[in-house]
Amino acid sequence: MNQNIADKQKEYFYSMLSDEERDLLHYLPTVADLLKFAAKEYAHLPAISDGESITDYEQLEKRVAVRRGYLKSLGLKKGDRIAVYSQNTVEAMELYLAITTGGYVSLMLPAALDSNTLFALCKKFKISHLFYDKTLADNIPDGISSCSTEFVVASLGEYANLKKEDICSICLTGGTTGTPKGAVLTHGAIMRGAFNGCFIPGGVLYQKYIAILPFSHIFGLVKGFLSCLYTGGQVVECRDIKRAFAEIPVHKPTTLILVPGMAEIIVGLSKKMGKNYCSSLKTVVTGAAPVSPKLMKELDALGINVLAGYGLTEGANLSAGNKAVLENPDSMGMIYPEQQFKTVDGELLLKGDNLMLGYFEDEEATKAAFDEDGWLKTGDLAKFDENGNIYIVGRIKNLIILDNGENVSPEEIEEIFDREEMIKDCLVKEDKIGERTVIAIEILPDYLVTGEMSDEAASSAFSEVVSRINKTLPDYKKVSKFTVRKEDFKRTGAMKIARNQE
Amino acid sequence: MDDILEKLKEIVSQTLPEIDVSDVTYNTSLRYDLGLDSIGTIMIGIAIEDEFGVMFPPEFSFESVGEICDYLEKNIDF
Repeated sequence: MNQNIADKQKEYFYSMLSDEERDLLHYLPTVADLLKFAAKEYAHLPAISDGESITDYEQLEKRVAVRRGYLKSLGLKKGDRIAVYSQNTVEAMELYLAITTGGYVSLMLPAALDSNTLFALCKKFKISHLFYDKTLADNIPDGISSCSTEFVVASLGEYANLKKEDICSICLTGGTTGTPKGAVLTHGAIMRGAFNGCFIPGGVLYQKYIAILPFSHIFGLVKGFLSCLYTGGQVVECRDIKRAFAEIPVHKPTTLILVPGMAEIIVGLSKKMGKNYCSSLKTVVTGAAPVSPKLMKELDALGINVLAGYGLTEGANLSAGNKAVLENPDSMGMIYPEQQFKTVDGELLLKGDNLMLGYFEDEEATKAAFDEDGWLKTGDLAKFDENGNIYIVGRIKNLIILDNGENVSPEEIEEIFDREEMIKDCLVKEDKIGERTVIAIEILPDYLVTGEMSDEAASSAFSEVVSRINKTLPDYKKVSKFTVRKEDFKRTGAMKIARNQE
Repeated sequence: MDDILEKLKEIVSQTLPEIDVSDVTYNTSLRYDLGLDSIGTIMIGIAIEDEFGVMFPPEFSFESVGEICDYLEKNIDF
């Protein structure tokens, strides 16, 4: 790595911190080190809260020790994988810390999962024990060792003897194929991500957060939880995203970690309810999808400082962050210190201790994710300007990235529609309704099956097909717009549909 | 019912000024006509709750403007 660039990276990020913050905050190699540090430095400050009662850092460390004792009493061994199927509750926060500081491996699962998917994921990731929120008890499949996330009194369990290289967490990631993969992340990687999350301009210590982004999402877990503990923040639980936004004037968070679509809620509700709606809010950190310059300006007008970032699950949280979004809205800022980067044929490649070891028990996908020298192939096309600012200019992977940060593989949705008798072929792509990014499908009917159809008849028949299939899809994969083609698609030499039909 | 519809149109245009509400009717679909995803409906939902002083149950999901009107008519006193 060119020393000059490494210095620039450091200068860019460390200049966001005050002297006090620079002295206090250093890279800690394991989650256990983080919890010990936070309990010592921030002992009597509020750490986590269910919105009513507050647990301070010293109490948190004790409660986590009891939970570690309980894990031990279940007969679980170091390295065993333990899943937490829950909303972002204080129980889930304590369990995450107990699992990882006890030497087990965590898998945080979204509360939106149905019972079948939950079962499949527990089997795929060889889960030894599953904790579930009691409101989700009806979804727990038979044949999986499980109990609720409620606090159970047990004797204190010790911290495991952990090293940076030990596996800490498995994080779900969509990737380009339908079934989710699990990025295997070490303590060192998770903690690099958490440390990167401490670089926030305008005062990062002692902020108040609502944990809106699900902990099953790397950004929600690392930036939305661990970085907060790193900096002595208070994290308020979130059982329901809608309630959390409605209660912003009640809980008065000072910083929120959001995907851009959620930042839009803040702006929209402020227009409706007035600036007092979010007067406590000083900073919004966004990631997972590009933020429009318009949204940044609107947040700025509300007096909210925005830090926009770029990252992937495979790199444990943000890999690049932009502290000057108004001056340079198209850039993702700079790559965080201690991480190397280069482009090969335009593709961004990353190296550093933040990277995953690989995908869980998926050698083929792991091999495809890295080049022969261990650089992670991001699948994103990037450019750098003379100051080292990064610009994401396109994607190699064929993915639709929605405003809510969800990545959708068009092929996966096409496959579902292709099963329909009336459909000969289809093409799923990104489109707009007004200014909103939505998933659209172009359908080529099988006219041998449907016979001649008037425009009206085709529209009504396929409207029925789209809404029927939508009912089976998770919300973010639903198709919002469809068109019916009369003529075949343009095709490539191999007779595949050309993705670019223009 | 028309009053509720007019009020809803006002709420949508306040929170999402880029959406043209002139064509919004009882049959307008939030997803297919307005392009709202789950996040967009959260925003509209909170704005409606705030305006009408109601609270939608967590399992309540609205597909169309008409469904919201019906719910409000049943659950608020004028």
